[in-house]
Amino acid sequence: MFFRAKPSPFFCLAFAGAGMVAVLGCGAGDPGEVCAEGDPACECAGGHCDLPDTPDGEACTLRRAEAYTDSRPAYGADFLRWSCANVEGVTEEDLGQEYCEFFAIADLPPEYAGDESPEPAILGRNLGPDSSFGTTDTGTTLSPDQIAALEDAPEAVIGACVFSSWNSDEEAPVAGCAEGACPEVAGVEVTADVFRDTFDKNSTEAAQLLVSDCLLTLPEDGDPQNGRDPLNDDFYRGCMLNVAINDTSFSKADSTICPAAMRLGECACYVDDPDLDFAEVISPAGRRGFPMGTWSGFVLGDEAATELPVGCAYVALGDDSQTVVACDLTAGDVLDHASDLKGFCHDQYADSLVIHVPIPGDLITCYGDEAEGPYAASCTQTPWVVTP
Amino acid sequence: MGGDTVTRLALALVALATVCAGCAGDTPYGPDPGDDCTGDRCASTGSRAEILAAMDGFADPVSTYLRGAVTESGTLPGDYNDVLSGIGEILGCDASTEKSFVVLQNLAFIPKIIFTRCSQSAQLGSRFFMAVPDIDEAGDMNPKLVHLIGWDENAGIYRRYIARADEGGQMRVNVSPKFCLGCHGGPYKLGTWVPLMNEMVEPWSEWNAQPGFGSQLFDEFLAPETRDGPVYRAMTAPGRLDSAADLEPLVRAAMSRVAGARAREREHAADVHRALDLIRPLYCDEHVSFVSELHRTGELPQDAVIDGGLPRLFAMLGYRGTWPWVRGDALRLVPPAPGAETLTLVPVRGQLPIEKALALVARGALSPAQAVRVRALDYAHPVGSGFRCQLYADGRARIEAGAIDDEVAALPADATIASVLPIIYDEIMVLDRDGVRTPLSPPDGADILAIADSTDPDTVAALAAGQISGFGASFEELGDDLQARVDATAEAGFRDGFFAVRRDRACRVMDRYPTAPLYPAPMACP
Repeated sequence: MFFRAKPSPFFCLAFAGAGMVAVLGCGAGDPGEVCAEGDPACECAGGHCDLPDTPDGEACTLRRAEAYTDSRPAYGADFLRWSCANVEGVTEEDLGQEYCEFFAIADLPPEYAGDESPEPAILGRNLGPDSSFGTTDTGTTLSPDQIAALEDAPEAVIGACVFSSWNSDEEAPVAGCAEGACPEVAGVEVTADVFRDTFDKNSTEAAQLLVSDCLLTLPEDGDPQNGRDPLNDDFYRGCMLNVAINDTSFSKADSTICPAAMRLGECACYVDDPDLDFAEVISPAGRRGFPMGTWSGFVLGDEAATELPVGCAYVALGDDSQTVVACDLTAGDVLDHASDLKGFCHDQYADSLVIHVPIPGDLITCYGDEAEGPYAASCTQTPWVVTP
Repeated sequence: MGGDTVTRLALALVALATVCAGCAGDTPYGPDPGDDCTGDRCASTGSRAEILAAMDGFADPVSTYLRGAVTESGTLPGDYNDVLSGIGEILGCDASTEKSFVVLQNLAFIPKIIFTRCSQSAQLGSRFFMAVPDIDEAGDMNPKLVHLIGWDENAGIYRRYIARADEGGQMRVNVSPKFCLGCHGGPYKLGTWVPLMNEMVEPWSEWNAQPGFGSQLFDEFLAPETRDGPVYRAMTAPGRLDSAADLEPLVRAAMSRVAGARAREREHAADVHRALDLIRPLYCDEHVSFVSELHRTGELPQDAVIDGGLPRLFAMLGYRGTWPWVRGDALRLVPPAPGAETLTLVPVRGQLPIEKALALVARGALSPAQAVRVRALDYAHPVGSGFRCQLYADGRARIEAGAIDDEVAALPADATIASVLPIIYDEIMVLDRDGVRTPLSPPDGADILAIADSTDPDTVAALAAGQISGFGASFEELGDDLQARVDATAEAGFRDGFFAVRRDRACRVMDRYPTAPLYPAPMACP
């Protein structure tokens, strides 16, 4: 049995029902502090948690509804996908649960007319391996001179909403940086220090562990005599398996990947290449991260051919990895949303930016007729396409 | 003409009788004195010289194109494709940047096709819009009737034009036709064209949502003879047709242009009437928007129950993250039972009025607290509040009768509209019952007067008696109550009850707003 690192105070509980006790990272104390089960310091401060307290079963029902929205299903023969938008109840420092962290850059005019322009402000960027490390300020206060200057050209693009699926443990270089000519976004050099994700959970290792754990751990089965038992539903059963392992029912990413991996296990699937396992196939080490696109027009490995939401473009990292996207932030946007530009970026773009997990079906063979267990009968040749 | 087309035209007549107007047709108020249009057939088309004279001083891309393209007889060559190509050149955006979007109009669900260029940039793409709004006798789109809109940076407004085939088949140009304002000017008859998109969030009911999304109430109401028509098919060819999802940012950018330009009026010399117009969107619904349940999921934008401007105002007040509703999360209703109706096209506070009102706050012309104090009045009615708008109307009447003349006269000579706004605000925020004035100021220790439902009999009685202290509340108390209202939407009975709320709102909206959509099922309005 494997356990993933856990990033926030929400996790400071023992999963007694699953027979597991986890020692987990916690956000209530000092940054990065690890606290023990039952430690009151791990409770949500003042009753305001930044993660939802929705009961797990209810949360999995919500995740299921999202995964099977008619117009944008989460599962396909060659992909798993979900949007960068965080689910209801994930707020503040916890934003960025979907292998997709984001922040705003605003290249503001001077506070007083005639002064030098300040350095571009980086707003709402995560600052450490979990939410306890906080973020930079998510918004700014504009001076009268700044308001006046922004009003003079409200349609001018003076910044960007940056979305990144560059995994926090991937060291891939950025083209040009070695020569001292890093690309820039709104005046900010594109370096790992700024543009790479920071959360431990948004890492290649975490994705691989998620796949392995969900593949190898037996889920709780539903009652075969009860057709209304939700555990007989593949998605719900996989989502609850993720709850037992990771307790991240608030993550669309984990709640999407885990059922697919679970079904690979239930349906006796194997990777044809003996040098690879499913964890490596789904989240290969050395790949910068899961690629991003939008809900249509995605072409793996081809940034030029892939469609993105209006106003968005890939940041050229030099490897067609499709992992960093910058979307327009205008002077008018900054004027109207100065107090929370990170929130504006989320509301404006996150639901249209989509993480695509490529599934190389040609590397996977499933022997459904050899599968055992109560759900073997429903195995197909593509069981990772979890059907409702 | 096919039988279906006949049926649709008959439906159009019914629709006209029901909602007063469709946006492809006449103005909603009948003939406008001085107007020379019947529908979008305007008599004022003239020669090239007359057209150029009518565009004198215009600085939008359409006028630039027309100056070069219009013939001596005042016509344009070709059809909509030629217009798109010509304006594309002006914009510097070739055909590869062109997109088309389709919405079903409130006139018998006849489609309107919107074209844009520079479509990958909301800022560039929002400088120009072209609509093809009409069908021919066969039910296919009419390629020689176009409505054109161009942003005039100098004037800070959108300019409007029509080109329509005359008897000889030549497209004749009309500059600044008034009929456009019937819909885009709204019931307050705003003097300029403003961008509207009835539904600004998924599922964009009655819009085509493909590719990438599933349409809702579109495919089933698009007439087959239109869908199969060669012109419609060309206008919506793969690669050209795009989802409403990609029009939405362009329309938001267009709204931002309008709201920003309007907010700059505060810098003009003090003018009470202009100041009154400027502050109106804080109280009244100059336009309305609509939201729908996302297919059959039970997911519904929270604007359905909470004023769509309040989350940003509370964020400005420092309450970001305090309640989920400030994040603007969707509501999660119990999904509909199999075969039951989906909750579609719920009228909500208009996106453009929200942007206009918040633009004043963001620029410091009003404080967030002042804005919340207004929106906390009758907050259970985020749209269609007779109380808030009557408060404005009464205040406006008093002001126009001279109520603040002395205060305005005392302002310095270089005073601006921004200087007048606080005076106007204070005067409007007074309940005046037969000369008995009750300032709607929060009592000591309170931030606001939180009046949930102005139609509640107890509330009516208290207000009539001038007893307002009981409505005093803190921002936190209002926030808690709004969260409770959001939480209640997850309860089993909410869906059924909310259909009645939708009906009440829809009936008012259909009676007042020419852009109100056609509902799939009759509303049974009283």
